[in-house]
Amino acid sequence: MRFDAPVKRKAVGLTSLIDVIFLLLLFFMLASSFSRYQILDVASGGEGGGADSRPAYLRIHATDKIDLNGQPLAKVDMASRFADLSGEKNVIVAIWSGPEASVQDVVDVMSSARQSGLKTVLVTGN
Amino acid sequence: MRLNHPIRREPPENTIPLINVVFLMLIFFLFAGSIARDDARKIEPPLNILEDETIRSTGALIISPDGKTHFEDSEISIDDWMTQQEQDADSRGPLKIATDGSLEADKLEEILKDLKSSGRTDIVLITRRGSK
Repeated sequence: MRFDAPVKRKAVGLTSLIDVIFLLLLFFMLASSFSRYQILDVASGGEGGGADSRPAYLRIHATDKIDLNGQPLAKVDMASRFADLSGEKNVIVAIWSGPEASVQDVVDVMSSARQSGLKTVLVTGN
Repeated sequence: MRLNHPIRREPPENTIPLINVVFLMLIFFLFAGSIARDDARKIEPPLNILEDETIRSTGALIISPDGKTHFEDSEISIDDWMTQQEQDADSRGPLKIATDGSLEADKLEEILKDLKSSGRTDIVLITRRGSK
């Protein structure tokens, strides 16, 4: 028996490795999604909860027709108006939306109010 | 004259840089993308300027721009979806709804009212991260 026979090592083929990596890459490229979503709480304010203070009443008639406590409000100075409100304590912004308002309008107002540290509730009709 | 002198073979193409690049792409897609099913891909959720918690849209109630409610590509009524959510043990956590940004707010409020009437108070709206 010969033990000292020279062992011949063959280099591992790279082609099969590349094949597998390409397949993995293709899978992840096609299967992954890049959209990032985040949450906005819309459930706050159940039925019949009493408020300590008078809420600020914000009405969205249409995208560019918003009024806060009866005074017209432009989207550009929404942030400063909310900042004025947040000086008083426990102010809740009640948001009412008219038939022409879209979800985007409501979300804009809600996120702007929350950025100023105000609580928001959605006023649902009837 | 000897004609059978050895044939010069082309050295094999160097594949290492190719593998490097492909590996990098693989790692990029692994980290940057998410495999979770995106139920809200057919609609365009409203933009939100707040930097809030991120969430997956998997299992959300999808409200299409015409006001119909969908779940996983099939139309479903709100009551059916609610019972499905109650039974499904994996879907603990808030009720997720995703609407198109152009939907009328009244429609959303109607659906919210239906959801709230069941007593659940943890309802979240899925929004897109973005600035204006």
